[in-house]
Amino acid sequence: MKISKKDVLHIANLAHISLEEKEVHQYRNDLEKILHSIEELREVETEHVKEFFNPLKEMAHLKTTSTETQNFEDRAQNSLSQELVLKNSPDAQYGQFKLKSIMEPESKP
Amino acid sequence: MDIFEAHQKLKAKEISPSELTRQCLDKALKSKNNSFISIVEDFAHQCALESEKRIQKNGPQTYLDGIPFSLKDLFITKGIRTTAGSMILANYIPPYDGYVSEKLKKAGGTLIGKTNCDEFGMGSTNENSYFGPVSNPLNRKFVPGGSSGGSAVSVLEGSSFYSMGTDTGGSIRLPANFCGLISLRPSYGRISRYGQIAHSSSLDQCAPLGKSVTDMACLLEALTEYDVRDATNVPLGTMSIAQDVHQTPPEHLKGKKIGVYAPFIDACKPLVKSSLEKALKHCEEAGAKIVTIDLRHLKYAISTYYIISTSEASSNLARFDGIHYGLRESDGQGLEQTYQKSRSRGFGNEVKRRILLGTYSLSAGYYDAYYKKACQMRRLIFDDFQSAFKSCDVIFSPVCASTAFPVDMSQKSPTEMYINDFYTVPIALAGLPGLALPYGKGENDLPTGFQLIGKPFGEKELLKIGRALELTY
Amino acid sequence: MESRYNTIIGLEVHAQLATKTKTWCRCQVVSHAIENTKVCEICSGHPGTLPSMNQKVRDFAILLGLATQCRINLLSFFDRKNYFYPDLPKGYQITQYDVPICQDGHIEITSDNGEIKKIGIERIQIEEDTGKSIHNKKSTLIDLNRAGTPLLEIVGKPDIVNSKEAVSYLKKLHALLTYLGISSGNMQEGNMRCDVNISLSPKRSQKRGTRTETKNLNSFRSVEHLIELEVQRQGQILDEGKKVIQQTLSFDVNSSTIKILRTKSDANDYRYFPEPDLSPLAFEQSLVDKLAAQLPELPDAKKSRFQGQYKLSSYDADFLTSSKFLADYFEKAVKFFRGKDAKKISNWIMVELFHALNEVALPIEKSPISPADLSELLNMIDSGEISGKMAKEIFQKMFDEHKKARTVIEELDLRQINSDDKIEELIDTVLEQNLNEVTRYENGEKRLFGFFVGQVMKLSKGQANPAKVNKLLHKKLD
Repeated sequence: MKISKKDVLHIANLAHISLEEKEVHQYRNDLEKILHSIEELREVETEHVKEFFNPLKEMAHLKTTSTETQNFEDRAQNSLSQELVLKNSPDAQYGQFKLKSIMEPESKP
Repeated sequence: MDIFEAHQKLKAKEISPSELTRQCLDKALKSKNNSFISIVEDFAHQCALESEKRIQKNGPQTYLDGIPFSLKDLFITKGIRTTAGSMILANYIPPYDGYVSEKLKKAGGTLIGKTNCDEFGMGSTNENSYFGPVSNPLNRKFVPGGSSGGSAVSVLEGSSFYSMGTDTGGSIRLPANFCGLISLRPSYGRISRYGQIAHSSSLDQCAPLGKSVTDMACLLEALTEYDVRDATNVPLGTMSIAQDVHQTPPEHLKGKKIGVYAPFIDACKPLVKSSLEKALKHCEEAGAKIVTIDLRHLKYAISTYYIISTSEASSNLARFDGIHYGLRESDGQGLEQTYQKSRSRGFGNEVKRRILLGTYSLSAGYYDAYYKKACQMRRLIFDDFQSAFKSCDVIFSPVCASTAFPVDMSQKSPTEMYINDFYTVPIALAGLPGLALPYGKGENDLPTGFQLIGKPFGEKELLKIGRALELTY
Repeated sequence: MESRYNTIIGLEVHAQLATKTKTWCRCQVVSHAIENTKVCEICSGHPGTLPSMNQKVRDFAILLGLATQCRINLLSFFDRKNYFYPDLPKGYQITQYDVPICQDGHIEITSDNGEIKKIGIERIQIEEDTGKSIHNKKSTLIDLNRAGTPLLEIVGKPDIVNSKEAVSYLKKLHALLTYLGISSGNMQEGNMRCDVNISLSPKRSQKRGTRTETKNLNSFRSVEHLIELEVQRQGQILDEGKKVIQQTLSFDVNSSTIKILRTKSDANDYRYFPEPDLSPLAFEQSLVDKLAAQLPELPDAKKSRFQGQYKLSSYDADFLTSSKFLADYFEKAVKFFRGKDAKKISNWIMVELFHALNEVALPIEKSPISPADLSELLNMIDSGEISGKMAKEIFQKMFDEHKKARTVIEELDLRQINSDDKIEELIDTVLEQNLNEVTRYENGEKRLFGFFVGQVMKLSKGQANPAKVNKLLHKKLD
């Protein structure tokens, strides 16, 4: 499975990580190697195999694993104080997280 | 001295929590192994004093009361720095307490500190930490294993009696194996993940590491209370098995069917292989029956694992964007620059590599070929185990084909390291419990061992068999 | 232009749910609070946190599904929609991409030709809202109070053909939300937001045109206006033989301009995959049945009943049932009204009350006049205690000063004069003061009758019972 420099830059963009030229080269190599080994999965026929997303779904035979999702009642509990919420924030003002101005706010996804 | 023995001594007032704590703190502070990222001296003393008061009045309230322990720095501890071994969280102080921290506090344990680990649990040598690699005190030319290397070394060097680590694809079993210690990967859903910094959500489990099988049982007792905050935690109720496990006689092994898939043993290095064969012989001599099973799809487990774990990780790590907490590189021009610079600077190479791979696997046009395909393979691997368990009670498997790797090997050829997870990732994919036990020595005179794999939620039987075996060595 | 093309419109509505707490954590949901005080480690995306569901969200989704004839999926799943934005602390939104909780329902509207038309609902899915960001020149500030608030996304099928149908659909949906009590549906406050997908295709062509998507419209009027403008814009492009480009747009209500946000190629790759931290959303049919039994009388049924029971016209019944609060207001007022004709109440509400409310931009929920107070006033008109004209003045004072009818009447001494003696007194005074005109009347200028009536009314400050004035004046003069 070949992967191009453009592919790497596209993925890095999606992941919001910037890469220097030599990093692009390095990761391209790495990804190509890994994807090459992963090609082995093609050897196995899986067209009619149901996906396994989470072990718990398979535990239906356990009576104690209820098929009904465990949920919470609609009752409020205490939130964190504003101080704690903002404590680890790199920058805050007027009780809010602060960033440099976003140029095009309407282009929010 | 393991937890169980220390508990008896505390009960009998032969030792005090403060003494134990002082000893462990001493080892921690003087450690040359870089096993800790944060050591909480004052807090440790305070916990010890509180234990002491309790013990003087009514004796230790739980097995863990008064006993020093360490926590892998992937566990959230309120008010105590939690870094995940990463620069991006180097100064992060959590505003809340995680399940494991809460429960061990409640049980009366004394926290010595937060142990070093591969960044976000990504790695098998503990050389991917922003805070520097962890050294293996048994032989400094070799790694202690990862990602819970700091946890294993803290027990090995005596700075804690046990450590809580995590296991996503082998992160507790591998270091335990390399260091000659015991660890348990519980069934997926057995212990709440609330407060465990996520690596791969459908694979992560909180996993104890210590010196004996009974200790594993003691820890399960403290950590299996149902937590409704974790929707993947199964409400099976608190386990109460320590006494039962501890008192299991070697005869328990009689008639037990131990499943083995021969190609696995054969693929190991010669000395590791011969240790494993001896271990199997041991089982037979103790009255167990060795049964051949077929785990043919497990050879695809590594590829399956690396697609699933990196896909989930790429999403789990998106929250580290420099906005609400963690590192923010503010010389960025705008929002996009802030994201990119913070994440590029804050994450190490291995983390970046995995995020890129995971993002790729989930991206438009590739989801079916990678993520979906991997989930289908995961089904086949799970089915292999299901079939195997029809004819055996427990499965015997290597933990690693070799003993500890040489230092720096992971940095020179990172992608070649992935294959070393060969034996540990399958049970993570299937959600099964695994008990890693040390046995003999392998290459370079380093410890080796094996793992016993149990049926879904079959920890009790798994530990009983493990205990019985332990008694026969 | 419109006759050359078929217009195809599909609406996606996000409704904020009126639960007490958020979807995935136990923080309180409030419309106004000091910034970042209704936030916890979960809704601010701290490492190690996990979502756990508020069951009311599930219940509200089922209620809406039942009210829109959807198929309720006893097993549905959650997925992650991955993207980066500062008001999205986890870096992904938990949504239902693959299998949502409700599917394949419809809402009935009355189309242009008066017929009932079904607008299909593709799906109803559970989602969570983001935080709020405030942008100014130097900085952007983020408040996470809203982050994690439950949302239902209602995806309509592209069955709508014009702006009027779109507004009818939205009004009906709004009514359903308020009737069920699951959302305030207040568009201005952002509790209900609408994305509009529009495409044109030449008449008699099977081929679907390229669609554009305009996001986050927050009033019926702006939806209507946007549709009209966008249909025109696309029509012009097609007329010129060009192609419409698939784009995401935004609509500036103030300047009535459509702005291009991005084209398809810039579109985000959301990398949807099943949410690994949540088990599937599973429940039994018994829960659905229990909730079905709790459904209130819905708008369509209430409208029919109003038409039958109160003899209201279709238009009036439609108006009065457009929100549950209004429908209840009307029925309460009818209860207190001693008269037999409920149309008096409906007229008064639709004309007088709504005029007063609209003047000061108040919703019916904030009406200073209660149903009982309104009825009291109308009872007084019916009994003749006050005239219709006086009632209007009294009403305005009741509205402006938040007073009951009796209080206003007493303050202004506005009771209608009904006593024959009193009125005769007034008539005598007027006739005495206008002897010339009396003579002229007796000499045949019968038109002056109106003049005398006017003078009596003026003298009585409008309080004399006009019917009685007429009768007694005739008696005196003729």
